[in-house]
Amino acid sequence: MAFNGMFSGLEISASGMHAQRIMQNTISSNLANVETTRTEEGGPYRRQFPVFSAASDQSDVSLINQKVKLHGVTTNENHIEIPPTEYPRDERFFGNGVNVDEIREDSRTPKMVYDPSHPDADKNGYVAMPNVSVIEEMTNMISATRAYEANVTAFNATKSMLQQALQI
Amino acid sequence: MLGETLFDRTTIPVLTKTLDASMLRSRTIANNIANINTPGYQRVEVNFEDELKKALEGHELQGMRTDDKHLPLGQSDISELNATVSKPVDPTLPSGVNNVDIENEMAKLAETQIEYNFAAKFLKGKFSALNAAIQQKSIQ
Repeated sequence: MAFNGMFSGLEISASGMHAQRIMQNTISSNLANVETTRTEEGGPYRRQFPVFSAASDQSDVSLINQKVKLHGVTTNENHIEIPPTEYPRDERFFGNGVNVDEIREDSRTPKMVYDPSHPDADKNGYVAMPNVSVIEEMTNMISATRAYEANVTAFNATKSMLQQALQI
Repeated sequence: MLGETLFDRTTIPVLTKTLDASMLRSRTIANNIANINTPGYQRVEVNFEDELKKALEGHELQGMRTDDKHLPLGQSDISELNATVSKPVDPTLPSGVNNVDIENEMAKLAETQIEYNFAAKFLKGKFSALNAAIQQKSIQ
């Protein structure tokens, strides 16, 4: 997906908002299942988290890294400058926002809680509880909320700039 | 040429380039903010002001180019000025660590927005002045 049009700034911010919303959804799921001991796969619920990656085509990266072919170096102020002869084809290509690659399961071991009356307790009276830490989820939630808000601010800034352009 | 005196030799090309660069910068900032939680993301920056300064200062000696294969000598023209993007390396941070600083990005975003609005307003004023001159009116 190449965002190269007039509204690409909005789409980049939208991809950021989308990613943070996915983050919020997984956090909600983790908090809702903080004491779930039964899942379809068997065993307790496992914490889920999204994996983000910066969206950009290979060509974008090569464009950013592409060196100018011929470039004069001025080491003395009397030297005449030879500007770069070849700029990257379109230097406006720098990235396309953020992608949610996958939703992963946390591989940390389940918490063992002693509760012999629990129907899922093992023979020693221990229950395997989800590896979800409520405090960790709450901190992640704050981070995701703030990141979402930052994206909204960027979105509104781009929007007002576009509206200014229409006023010319 | 009428267009040359009316537009090209005025501040309009500079304002247009400023608008372009500000819009590009707001997109890079949006991209940096979108990737605030992406592991290993390196922030992107727009370089424009230094290039603009060089283009505006002019140069005593300027090479003429009559062929595309000629090397440009001296400073380039405003019309050839382009904002470029780069990934600045911060030596104080270990490489491969996400180097987006949200305060910095938000400050730059506000700055860019004001810069864009300024250039847009200024350009609008330019055009309404031209319009007033054409219609023999006073500028409101």
